[in-house]
Amino acid sequence: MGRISIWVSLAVLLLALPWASSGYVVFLACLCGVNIVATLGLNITTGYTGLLSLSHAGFVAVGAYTTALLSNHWGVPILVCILLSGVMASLVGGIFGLPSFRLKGIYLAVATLAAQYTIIFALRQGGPITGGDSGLVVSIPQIGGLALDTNQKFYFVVLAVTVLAIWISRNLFFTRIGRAFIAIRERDFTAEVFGINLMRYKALAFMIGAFYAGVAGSLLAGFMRVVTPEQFSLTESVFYLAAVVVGGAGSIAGSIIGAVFMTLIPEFIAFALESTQEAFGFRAIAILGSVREIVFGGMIVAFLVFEPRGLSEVARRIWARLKRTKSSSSDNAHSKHT
Amino acid sequence: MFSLKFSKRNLLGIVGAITLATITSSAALAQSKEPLTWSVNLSLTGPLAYSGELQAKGFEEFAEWVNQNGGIRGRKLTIITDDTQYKVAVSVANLKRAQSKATISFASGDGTPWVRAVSPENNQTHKILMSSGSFASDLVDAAKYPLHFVPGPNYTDQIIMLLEHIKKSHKGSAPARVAFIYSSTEFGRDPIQASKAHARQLGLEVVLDEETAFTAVDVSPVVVKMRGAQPDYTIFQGYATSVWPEVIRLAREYGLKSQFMGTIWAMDRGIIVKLGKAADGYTGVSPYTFKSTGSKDEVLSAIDALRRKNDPAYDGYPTIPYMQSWFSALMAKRAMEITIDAGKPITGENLAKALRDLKDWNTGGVFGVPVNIIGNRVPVGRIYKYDAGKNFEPVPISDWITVNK
Repeated sequence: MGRISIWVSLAVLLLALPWASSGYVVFLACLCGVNIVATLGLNITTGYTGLLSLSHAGFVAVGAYTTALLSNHWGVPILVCILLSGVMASLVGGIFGLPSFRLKGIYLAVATLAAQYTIIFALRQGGPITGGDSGLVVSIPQIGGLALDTNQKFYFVVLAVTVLAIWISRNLFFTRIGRAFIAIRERDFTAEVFGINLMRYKALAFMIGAFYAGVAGSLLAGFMRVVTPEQFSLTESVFYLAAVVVGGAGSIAGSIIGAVFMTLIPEFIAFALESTQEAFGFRAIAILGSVREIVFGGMIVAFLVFEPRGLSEVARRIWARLKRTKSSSSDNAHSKHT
Repeated sequence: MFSLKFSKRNLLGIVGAITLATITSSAALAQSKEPLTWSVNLSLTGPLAYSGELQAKGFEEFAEWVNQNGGIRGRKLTIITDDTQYKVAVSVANLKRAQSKATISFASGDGTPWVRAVSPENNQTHKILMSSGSFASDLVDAAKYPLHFVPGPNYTDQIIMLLEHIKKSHKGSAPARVAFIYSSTEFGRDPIQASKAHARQLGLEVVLDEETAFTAVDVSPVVVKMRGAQPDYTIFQGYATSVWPEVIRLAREYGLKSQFMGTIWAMDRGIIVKLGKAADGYTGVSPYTFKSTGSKDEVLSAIDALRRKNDPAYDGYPTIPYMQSWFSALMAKRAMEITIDAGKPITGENLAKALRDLKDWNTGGVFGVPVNIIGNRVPVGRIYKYDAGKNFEPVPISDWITVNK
């Protein structure tokens, strides 16, 4: 009963958010949703299958630009755009995932850099199709004639897609495909001996991860309403990788926690810095802004050293302790009664 | 004949009317004295931090000047400054955070990505007057960016000024040989195609078109290509503090005699002074007056006084980023004054109309001539040459030029 009430409360909170909070909070919620979907995808490729990828932002870009082109030129409704953007990114991911058949670890990571740079280069040189460096302004997303022209309206699309993405990811690892991914990560030669076709499943891992990235890119295009190559730099690929590491590689909850953490921590730091502006002027923001980078980097290193299983493991231990405390207090109450 | 019976009901009605009128006018009065809040989003960290800090100082001292002089029509000016880290999502989040705290009447950003990211929703929903440190060519499209105003001529305007100057001043019978060196960013590429076309139209020969990284330490490949192309003039576009100084230094070491030129963001005197003799004769476009010392104009003399008060080491030359933010702020201030005087509400649309309707505006010395706003920008600039013999005084070598009259 306790668990159900938690889920119901969470659902009510998420559904009521646009009415109960400011445009800024809704904007952050949408950004968290986009980053959760993208991080889930990268966790499938990297966390569960062990294929290190530095090209995730490139696949997000493919999804974003696909949505921009479909909606601008043909007025395709946003839900169809989301699906097609995922498919497009998946195909691109499958092509750039080919080096994973031969390469592993850091060598694979370097090979995926080629994907990152190639995609962004193509977008910059795409002339009138991609808008080049200027990018594209995305037309207002539509669902059945309803224009989703504010963050508050688009939030519900982001929420629905994020929940669906989480549900699919969770169930994926109860299937043969999901178990094959885990087996490849643990010991790929042994997995091959047991009949898992490495080539097929590695390609699938890249394609599924890229599909999620494409969906995230589509959502990003819909709610930012502008796509430029600069939004999808290597720094963003590292951001998603950091979210996987901080949240917990190989964990769905880790993807969610890591994405939310990486999205919100800079905002919390900025919020804290604001209080210094009145006393010290903008200079405090500039100086402490640099400190922010140090704090952020330090946190990631701290996680790698002290809790390599990420925030999801921390959350799991806290939850286990709470349950133990609750059950021991109910045992005490029961024994007093008897 | 009309007569008013003095009854309790009438008395209550009169008292009620007076009370209502008092409350309404108090509310209106209170509202009219409500501070004006601006959101300023700048790159205070990251590759543009150098200019971001100077721009932030400009806005800070502008607010100090305005509030010392009674605010904008009696309303205090409050500025919320945020660091964008030159990231689009961060800059959009900053503006939304500012909007959640106060009614924002003007927003300024760090560059073109910010303008493009904020404009779709702003044009439709929030309708806030905007400006930025971007002089990108397509921002002058009033249909796409009806609420954004460029604080000077755009990059294409600026390079056209330089090319026209080359055409006029080049000596010799052979056509002038021109090189373009620019960064691999939108900032760098923006005016290049149009500029090359204009150069050919003027009969100039484009001998080198070289794209580089936005920041770089080793520029020898670029200078080697320059040595092969032997340009008479080399124009830089799309850099902050990196690449162009290194190219100048290395080119002079290699013995190249090319005349180096730059647009607004490659005209910083501080960098030129550090380059020393290698930068002697460096030429470029600035929309703003370079020197504040001895100025009798209202704004320029205020800038001089503030700079000397806040910086004992001030040398009389306010930096380009500083002047850019002052002028963006001046545009917003002037628009608000006009709108308030007309009794209209402060909305982006009213402010934008006020700016477009400005005729022969005296900018208090920021521009040396009265200006008009054409195509969402002020297409006025001047060409300056840095003279090592005069302690790198930027000497004007042209009159004030208006492009696309």
